[in-house]
Amino acid sequence: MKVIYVVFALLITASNVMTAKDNKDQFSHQKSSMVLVKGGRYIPFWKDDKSLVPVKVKPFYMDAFPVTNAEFLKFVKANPAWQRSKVKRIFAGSTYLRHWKDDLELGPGATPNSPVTNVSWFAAKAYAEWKGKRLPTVAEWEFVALPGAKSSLRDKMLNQKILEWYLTPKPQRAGTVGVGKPDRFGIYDMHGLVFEWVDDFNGIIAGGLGGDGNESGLFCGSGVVNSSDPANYAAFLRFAFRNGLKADYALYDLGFRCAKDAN
Amino acid sequence: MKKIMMITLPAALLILGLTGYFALNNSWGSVVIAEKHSEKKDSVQTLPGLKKVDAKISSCCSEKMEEGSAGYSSNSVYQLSSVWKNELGQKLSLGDLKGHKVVLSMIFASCTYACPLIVNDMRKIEKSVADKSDVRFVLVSIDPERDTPVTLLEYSKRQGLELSRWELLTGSKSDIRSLAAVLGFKYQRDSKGDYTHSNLINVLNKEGEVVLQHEGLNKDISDIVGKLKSMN
Repeated sequence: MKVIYVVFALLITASNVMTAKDNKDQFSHQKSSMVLVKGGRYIPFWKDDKSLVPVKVKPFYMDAFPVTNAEFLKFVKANPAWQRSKVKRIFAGSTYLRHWKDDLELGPGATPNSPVTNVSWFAAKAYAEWKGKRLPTVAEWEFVALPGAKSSLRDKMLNQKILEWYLTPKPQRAGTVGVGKPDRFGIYDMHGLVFEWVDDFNGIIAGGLGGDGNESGLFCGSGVVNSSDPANYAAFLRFAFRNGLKADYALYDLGFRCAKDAN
Repeated sequence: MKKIMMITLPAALLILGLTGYFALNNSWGSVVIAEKHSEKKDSVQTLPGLKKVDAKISSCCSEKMEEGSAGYSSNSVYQLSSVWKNELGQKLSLGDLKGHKVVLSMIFASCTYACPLIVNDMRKIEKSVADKSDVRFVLVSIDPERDTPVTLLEYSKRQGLELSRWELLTGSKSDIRSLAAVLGFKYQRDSKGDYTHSNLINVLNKEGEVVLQHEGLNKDISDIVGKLKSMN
């Protein structure tokens, strides 16, 4: 039994113990920093035809960190319509910001420097617009999140790490942003803290077309045929997760970060 | 024994986790069709005389989702205060439809397969409720680049739509995405510029709340007709 606890503890803390060094430095300048992602070609994980044409990702800015509770608090202070007791039900389910103490107080359940969660897509989008930004697209998010083009041993290990995180039950309180190592773009926490909303989460990712227009091939066997990389189980899980979302969902392990067009 | 548990435990957790998410979601049965279309350019024309609508023209559009919620229920689609243009180039917000029963679908004009079938279903519905003057039919384009008001007007003529009962709307990409999100409508532009999308006819009550969603093509529409006749 002890062994199991140890495994648990390891899994849960895996992302946090990666590196605690430089923590202070990062915090001093991180709060509003965005990183320029130069863009490039990206082979979508999922295609509705079998051509697997790479998609061009234009240069864009991405938040280096997920939006935190403290940042979101500023937003709801400035935009009362998005406070927990005032939000319109069509824009956010009943679990919206449930981990906060009340409309304008985080309380013990919500650490200021942890990613804000329990936010709906509408709320995330409204925050981004308030900041003069937008939510990243699936293509942009995946472009940043996926390992480099060539599948090296390092990438395989990264994938393994991501998968382990997906396998781990998420703590009710997400960890602190910016604690781990940045990725090759200088962006933090794409994996390891929370799942993240994207602008076009409600895009179609199905492959199979039934004669009566039904989504027959969604995530059973036939779906895998249309995957650019059936071995990339981690990406597969993300796409499955997004496909299950509705825009008013507010989930305890789902947060977001913002993006912006370059130029 | 311990080793076995070390392996099975994470697997079990994964299954539990996924089951939880998927149980939350009942949208897997929604309907998808890939579309093909031919490229065509729209010629710019001057608009014909303006259609008389009971639309109050909303001024503009920043702070969208925070504003304009007055008078609508918390679950009303009309909480979206986005501003659209109809086939005559007139600005209106969805809330201008308040007080009508609304049959609404999201389509694109150059769609050659699914959308004409959806519109056809809606026309059948229209005939079945011909005596009900409080029903409006709304087509919202998901293709803002090609579906200008002029294109939508041509489309309405081609489809033989009676403009006193139909609105064909075009809006910004962001507002289209939000409306789709409210309705649970999925769509995506593919590499060739075609759209893959759900096939969904929505019925809104006079408050703008979704009371019925009809998925699929060429299916029995009596559910919608029944709803329109029975609700106040």
